[in-house]
Amino acid sequence: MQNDTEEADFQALLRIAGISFAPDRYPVMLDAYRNWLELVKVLDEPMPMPVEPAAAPRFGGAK
Amino acid sequence: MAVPTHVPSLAEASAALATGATTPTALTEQALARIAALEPTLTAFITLAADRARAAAAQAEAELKAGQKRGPLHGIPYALKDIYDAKGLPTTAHSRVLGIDNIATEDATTTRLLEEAGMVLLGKLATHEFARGGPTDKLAWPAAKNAWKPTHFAGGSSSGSGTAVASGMVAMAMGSDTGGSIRLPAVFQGIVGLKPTYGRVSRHGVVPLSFGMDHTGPLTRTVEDCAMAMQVLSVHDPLDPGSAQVPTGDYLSALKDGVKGLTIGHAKGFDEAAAMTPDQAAAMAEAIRVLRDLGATVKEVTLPAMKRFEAATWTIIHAESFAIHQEHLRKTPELYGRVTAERIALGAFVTGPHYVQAQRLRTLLTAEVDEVFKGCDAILCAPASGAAPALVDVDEGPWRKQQPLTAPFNLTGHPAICIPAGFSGGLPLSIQLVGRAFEEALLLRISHAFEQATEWHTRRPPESWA
Repeated sequence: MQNDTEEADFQALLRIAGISFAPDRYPVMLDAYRNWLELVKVLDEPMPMPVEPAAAPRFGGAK
Repeated sequence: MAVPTHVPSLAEASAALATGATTPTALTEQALARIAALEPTLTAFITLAADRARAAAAQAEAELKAGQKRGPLHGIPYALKDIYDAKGLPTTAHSRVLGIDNIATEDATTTRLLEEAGMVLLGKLATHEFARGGPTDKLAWPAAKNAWKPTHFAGGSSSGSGTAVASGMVAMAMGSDTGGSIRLPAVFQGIVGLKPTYGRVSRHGVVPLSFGMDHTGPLTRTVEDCAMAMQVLSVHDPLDPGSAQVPTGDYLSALKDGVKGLTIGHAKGFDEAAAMTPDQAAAMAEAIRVLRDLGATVKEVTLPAMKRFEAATWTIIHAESFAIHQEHLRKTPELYGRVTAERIALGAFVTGPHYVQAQRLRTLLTAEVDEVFKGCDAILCAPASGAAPALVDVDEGPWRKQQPLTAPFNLTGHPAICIPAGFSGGLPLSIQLVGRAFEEALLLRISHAFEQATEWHTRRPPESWA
């Protein structure tokens, strides 16, 4: 669902990052941000606590 | 004026050099003549180093005459995606941010290995800007065009590498692959593209996009050529923090051993989620039939859901590419193409916990794909939903509606190769084979058997546009 909080967050993140876009690209980038929020919902799914971040080489010392 | 013929494959050139049927100078002049004829249309090169190539060819010729043969690639031309350093030549990454004055003071490790093998560098090839932009961005140099239909997408980001090999300007070119950038130009231009295992081929001296997702590797016309290149490139490199301490593989001795007795896992659900075109689906069905006829067992396997791969993959790529480019994006945003800047800027949305969670999910997904390999020797799946789209239809937004089907194996680091497997409307189609970590030799063996049982790799672009 689109809401004002999302747009405020979007503006804040760009301000913190120190970047901006031409006014005509604002709606496209806001839409990209909303797609991003949808994508990363997967990252909120629970994982077993001991799972560590992957690390090179071969992400976790497989070899 | 007639267009000079395609350069020979690495294997053909090597055999001809061994018998004295050709010379490094003749091979280099053939390549330069073909480039001169096709480059006005295909714009594959950013820097053509003709004088340097002629000097290197003369040196190779003298060494070969003196009986100082360095190996099977000695005296054969090659080219580099313009994110690889080659001492004395500019590394532009196809961007005004680096520009033509960014002269490399050292070779990338891969460049050094190819030079030590006696290969002859022809020049530096077009790419999507910083391996992240798109083919329609307005940049300082034109984008490489598809050798089959210049009005269609060449694939990217190693677009110039794909175009130069597919059009027969050069037998081998180096590319890089963060989400599919070696494989997709190979797919859309009907050649072979291998993304080796993460850590197998050095990234040192290659402009980074995403430290944990970047892979380097070759694009060639044949699987045998790919194996020949890998024989030189697969070296542990202490200068690359991600380089694996794994002995160099033997990619050639078992190349022709066939697939009899091997089990190929078809990731059918993965393909169905990709909304393949009817022609791509037919090419996949035919590939399965060919592999079975060759003696392989093909069975269905289930990979983790694509949305899990995508969440981890793009969180990492967005965060790492933004970390690399943030200073330039703040200070000189006008130097970037619109597509590049917008895509890299997506990293501004990634939080610390996102990034850590993505890396944790990567651990799980890598293990889950490793588990699939307990039941098969290789995984077969589509690399793209269909043939190359027209340039006017390429999604150039910051958020692509369909993410590349190649990217999951950048996340897990498994080796993946794309090879020709059909045609649709005069444009090539391919299949993708994925192997266990560091089992490039087996992947090449399967690919070679498939290639030799089909005729797709023998077709050449029509050149009616030349």
